[in-house]
Amino acid sequence: MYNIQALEEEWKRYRRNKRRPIYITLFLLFLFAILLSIWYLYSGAFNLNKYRSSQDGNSAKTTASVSMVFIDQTIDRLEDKRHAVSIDAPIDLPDAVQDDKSIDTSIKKKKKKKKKLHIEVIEVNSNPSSFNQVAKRFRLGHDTDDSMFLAKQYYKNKNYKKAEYWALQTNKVNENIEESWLIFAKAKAKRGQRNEAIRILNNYIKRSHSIEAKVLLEKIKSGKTF
Amino acid sequence: MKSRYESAKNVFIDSVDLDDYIELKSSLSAYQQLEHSIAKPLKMILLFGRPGTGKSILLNRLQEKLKHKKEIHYLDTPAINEKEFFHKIFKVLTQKTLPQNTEVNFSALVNYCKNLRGKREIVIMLDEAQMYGPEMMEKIRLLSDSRAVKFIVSLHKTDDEDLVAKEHFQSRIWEVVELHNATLEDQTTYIHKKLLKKNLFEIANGIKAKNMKMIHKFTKGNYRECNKMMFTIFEICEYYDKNEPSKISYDYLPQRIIEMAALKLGYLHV
Repeated sequence: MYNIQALEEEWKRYRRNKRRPIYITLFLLFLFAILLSIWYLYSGAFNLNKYRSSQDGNSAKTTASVSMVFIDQTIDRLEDKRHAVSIDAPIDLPDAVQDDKSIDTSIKKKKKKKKKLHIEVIEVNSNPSSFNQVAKRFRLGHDTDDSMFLAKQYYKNKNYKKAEYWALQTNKVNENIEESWLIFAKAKAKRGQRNEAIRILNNYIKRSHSIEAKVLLEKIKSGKTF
Repeated sequence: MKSRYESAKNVFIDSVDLDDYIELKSSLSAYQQLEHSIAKPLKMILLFGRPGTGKSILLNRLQEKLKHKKEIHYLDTPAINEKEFFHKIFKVLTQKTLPQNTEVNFSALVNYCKNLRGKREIVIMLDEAQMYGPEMMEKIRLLSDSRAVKFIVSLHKTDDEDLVAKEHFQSRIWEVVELHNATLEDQTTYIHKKLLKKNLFEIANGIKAKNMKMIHKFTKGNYRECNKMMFTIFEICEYYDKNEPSKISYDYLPQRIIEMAALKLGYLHV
């Protein structure tokens, strides 16, 4: 009979040795999985940060571009009107298109330049000489955008008389622009012509049933600020 | 009470016992080939294979089967020297014992054989023939040339013995019968049949295909190695059955025990 205890011990050693490569492989796999997950997490976080920063950049760009677009539209119009003024001869369409393109590209270049442009444009807009240029252009083209721009800007600058005037000019060209009627009534009211403002609004409400106009009417009637 | 594992263990004691002979596909084929070769007018037949492939038991079986039909003799152990060998041959041929202090005259023996041609047909099976020297083998060849004596020479197939076989028998051997290690299927049948012969059905049933695969892997299908392995396995089982019965069940043979046996026999190393 063998020494079974010794044989058992030998077998246990054998089994340990036999399983060692399996344990080592499993351990290495586990280690690899951990390293992989760490790498994945870090690279994921890095990408997320990158994404966030790009998102922030994008949102900033978006905000800038929105304001830029708004301002640029005004600039476009100003430029177009200036261009229109300078041309006496009948416009040749391709050339005009070309000119437009050249203007577009020059404006785009401006767009690309800096956010500073916004401030500059505002300054230009609030400059009375530029208002005169827009007024001049309106007289030539009767563009309600120009007259509305002037009405809004004068109202904003508390020049209610001029605001009233340019709102009226707008209404003369197109009597369906609600904003123009509201500025006209508000300017009247600001100038102390409250009854006149109420009458204008009543006439407009009868025609358009505008809620905005009704709200403004109530405010003027009750003497609330607007 | 005698453990069933003890009986199982004894089944695998390595011996050339015809009662324990297990008929397998491969051994049956070798037997038929050998029987067919004996019927041919051949002088010498070479039976060879690796140790433990069942050469001896096949020769025994052949003798047992043909002893009533043919004059067939089986010399299981090689003679220590030439004198002893010829004493044995003399006894086989003349069926007389040589008087003491006398020696066989080889020339006279060859002549005696020549005289027997056509009268008798004697088959002599020499087991473990690799132990005979080249000179002795040459004399055996001369005896076979008489055509009255036919030799079946059983050899171990090793690289060296292969050379011996080539040198001494290549030109004369008419038929070569080679035995191989058992296939997994043959070994499974062998183990099962051995146990069933002793009515150890439960134990035989407990050795599953997986166990058989392991045993075959360790023993490489060698019957002698298989016997050794099975003996060791059942000896370990016997110990557990007697001392720690909770560690053993007749329903199945634990892999642990096979591995322990393999460690014991040196098939495995820590």
